[in-house]
Amino acid sequence: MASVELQGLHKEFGNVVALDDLDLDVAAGEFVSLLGPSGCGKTTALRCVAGFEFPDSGEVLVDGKDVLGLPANKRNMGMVFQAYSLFPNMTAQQNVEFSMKIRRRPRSERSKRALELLELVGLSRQAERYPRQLSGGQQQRVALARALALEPAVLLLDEPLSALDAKVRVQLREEVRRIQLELGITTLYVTHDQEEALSVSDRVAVLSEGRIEQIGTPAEVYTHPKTSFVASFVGTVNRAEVTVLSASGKTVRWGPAVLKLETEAFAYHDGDAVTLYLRPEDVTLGLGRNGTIPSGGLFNGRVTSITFLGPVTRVSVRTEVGPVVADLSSAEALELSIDSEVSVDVAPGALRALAS
Amino acid sequence: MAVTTAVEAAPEPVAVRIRAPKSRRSWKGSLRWLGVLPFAAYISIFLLIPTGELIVDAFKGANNNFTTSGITAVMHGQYLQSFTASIELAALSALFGGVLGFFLATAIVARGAPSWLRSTMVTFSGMAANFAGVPLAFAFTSTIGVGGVITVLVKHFGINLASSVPLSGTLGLALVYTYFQFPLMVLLVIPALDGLKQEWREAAENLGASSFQYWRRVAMPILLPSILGAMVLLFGGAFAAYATAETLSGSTGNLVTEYIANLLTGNIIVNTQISYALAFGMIVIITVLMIFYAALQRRANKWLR
Ligand SMILES: Nc1ncnc2c1ncn2[C@@H]1O[C@H](COP(=O)(O)OP(=O)(O)O)[C@@H](O)[C@H]1O
Ligand SMILES: [Mg+2]
Repeated sequence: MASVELQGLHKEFGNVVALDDLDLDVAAGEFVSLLGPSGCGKTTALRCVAGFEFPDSGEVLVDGKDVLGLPANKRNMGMVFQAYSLFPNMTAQQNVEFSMKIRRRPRSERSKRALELLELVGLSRQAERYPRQLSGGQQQRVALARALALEPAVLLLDEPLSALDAKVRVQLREEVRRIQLELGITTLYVTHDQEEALSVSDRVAVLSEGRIEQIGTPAEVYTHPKTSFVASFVGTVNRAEVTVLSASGKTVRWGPAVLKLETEAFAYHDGDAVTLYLRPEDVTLGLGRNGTIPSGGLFNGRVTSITFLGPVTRVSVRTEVGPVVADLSSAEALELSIDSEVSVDVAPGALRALAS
Repeated sequence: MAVTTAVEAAPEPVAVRIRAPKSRRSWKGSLRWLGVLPFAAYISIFLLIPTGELIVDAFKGANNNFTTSGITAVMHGQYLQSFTASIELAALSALFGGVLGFFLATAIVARGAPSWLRSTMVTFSGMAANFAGVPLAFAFTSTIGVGGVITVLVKHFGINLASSVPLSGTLGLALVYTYFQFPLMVLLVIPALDGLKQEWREAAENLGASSFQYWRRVAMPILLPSILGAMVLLFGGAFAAYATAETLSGSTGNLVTEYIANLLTGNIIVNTQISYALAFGMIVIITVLMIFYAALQRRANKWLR
C-alpha cells in the first residue's frame, strides 16, 4: 500500500497538450478512477506513473518519493492493459509467474503464489491454458493476477474492460473492486465509461483536455457537478439557459415558471444568465384526470418519445421551454403514450445552476 | 432547453480480428475459385510434369528398365561431395543472411526509428534480394576479387584478401550470397516483427524484465518459428541457386546445380541418368525443407496472426 501524488504533470506531443499541469492525490489503499472522453489524457497520465511516458514537467510521488528517475521495470507497479497483453507463448500460470521468474523466486514458491492468484480471480482450473484458449474476460482476469503477483505498491488499469461484452464488463468490474478491497491496494483506474467509474471507485477524477475538472466521491460528482462539462459528461442531464430573477431570493425565471434554487452559494446578480442542470430522474410528469388538462406543474407539454430502459423508462416531453427528458419508473410510464399531455415538475432541491 | 446524454465516448480502438464474410451461395460465388485454374494449369505444365518426368528418368536404365544405379551413384564420391558442398554453402549463407537480416529488420521496425527508414529499406531490400547472377558476381570480383579495388588497396597493408577468402570457395560464395540473402530475410521477418505487440514489451517491462529478458523470454520464443522458417527459405534459395556460383567458380565449381548444368550442357560426357539422379536428390532435399517450413509456419501462426 502506498500513496500516489501527481504534481503539475505536463506533457505535450508536438502541439497537442495531453496533460495540462495535472494534480492528483491518491491516498494509500484508495481506488481512484480517471474518467473522461477519449483523448483527454487519461492514458498519458497513467503511463507517466507506470514509467512508459515521461512528463515534460511535474512530479510523480509514491509514498512521497519521486519515482520519475526510475525506469518502468524498477517501479513496482502492476499494470493491466486494455487487451491482448498476455504473453501468447505462455500458459495462464506461466504468465502469472513471469515477474517472479524474473526475480528468481524458487519454483515451488512461484507456482504456489500463481495458483493462489488464479484462484483469487476465479481461474484456478484454467492455469494450463494458453491465452488464445481463454475468452477476453478470462484473459483480463489473468492479466490482473499477473499484475498482482509481486504485490505492487500501486495497481494501474487502463480501460481493462472496454474490449469486453457488456455483461462480462459489469461482472468483472465488481470483481476488480472486490479484489482491490480484499488486498487494500492503491488503484488508479482509467475509463471513459461513467457508469463503470461511478460504480467501483472511492473517488472519481473527471478529466477534460489534460486537466481535472472535478474530483470527488461518485455521489458528489454525480449530484454536485462543479462544471458544465462534468454535469454533461457524467450521466444524462437537462440543460436550460435561464435568467436570475432575484439574487437574494435565489430565484430564476425558466419560461413561465419561477424557481427557487436551494444552493448555499449563489454568487450571481439579478439579470445574470445562468445554465440550469436537471437530472431526468428529478423530473416528474403529471397526467390530467379523465382527459382533463393536467395542472400543478411548472408547465405543460406533450410526450414525444418513450424509451423503455428496463427498470426505468425515459420519456421526452416537448414543452414551451424546449424538450425535457424525464426518467420514470417503468410502471408509472405505462400510463403514458405518445402525445399524452402532461404537466412537468421538478423535485425540490434538484436544480443546479452554473454560470453560462 | 437542451438535453445532453453522457457523451458516449467511442471506445478506444482495439485491434479486431475480422473474419472473411461467408460467401453467398450463388452459383457465381461458388464458382469464383475457378479463377485459380490458369495458375494450376501453369504449375502442372511447368512444374509437375517435368518433375514427374525427371523422377521417372532418375530410375530408368539404358534399356528403359527400372534401376537404382543412378541414385546409388550420386550417393557416393564427387556427387555426394557436391551435395555436401551445396548444403554447406546454403546453410552458411542462410545463417549469415538470416542473422544479419534479422538484426537489420529489428532496427528498421524499432520504436522511434524514422518512418522514411522503413520504406527506404524495404524498397532497397526488394531490389537487393533479386540481385544475383552475373551482375552480383561482377560486383564482388571487381571489389574483393583477385584484381578487385579493395583487394589491391588492402594489399598495401599486407593483407591478401583474394587468397584468404577466395570468392569461389564456400566461405567466399557464402559472403557473396549474403548480399541477396539478408535483404530477403529483412522482407521475410518484418511482418513477424510487426506482429509483436507493444503491450507485450510494456507488460514485460512493467513486470520487472529488462530489455534482454523480454527478448529472451517473450519476443524470441514467439519469433523463433518465423525466423527459422525464413531461414529455411533462404537455405532453399541458396541451395537451388546456380548463376552466381557458376560465374565465380567457372569449371572448378562443385555444387550440385553446377554438376547438373555441366552434365546437361554436355561439358562432361557421362550418362545423363546421373544428372536426373542429382536433380532427384535436390527434389528430395527441397521437399524435406518445405515440410519443415510448413511445420514452422503452423507454429508461427499460433502466436502471430
Ligand atoms: N505517443 C503519442 N504521440 C502523439 N500524440 C499522442 C501520443 N500519446 C497520446 N497522444 C495524444 O495525446 C492526447 C491524450 O491521449 P491519451 O492520453 O491517449 O488520451 P485518453 O487515454 O484519455 O484517450 C491525445 O490527443 C492523443 O492523440
Ligand atoms: Mg486511453
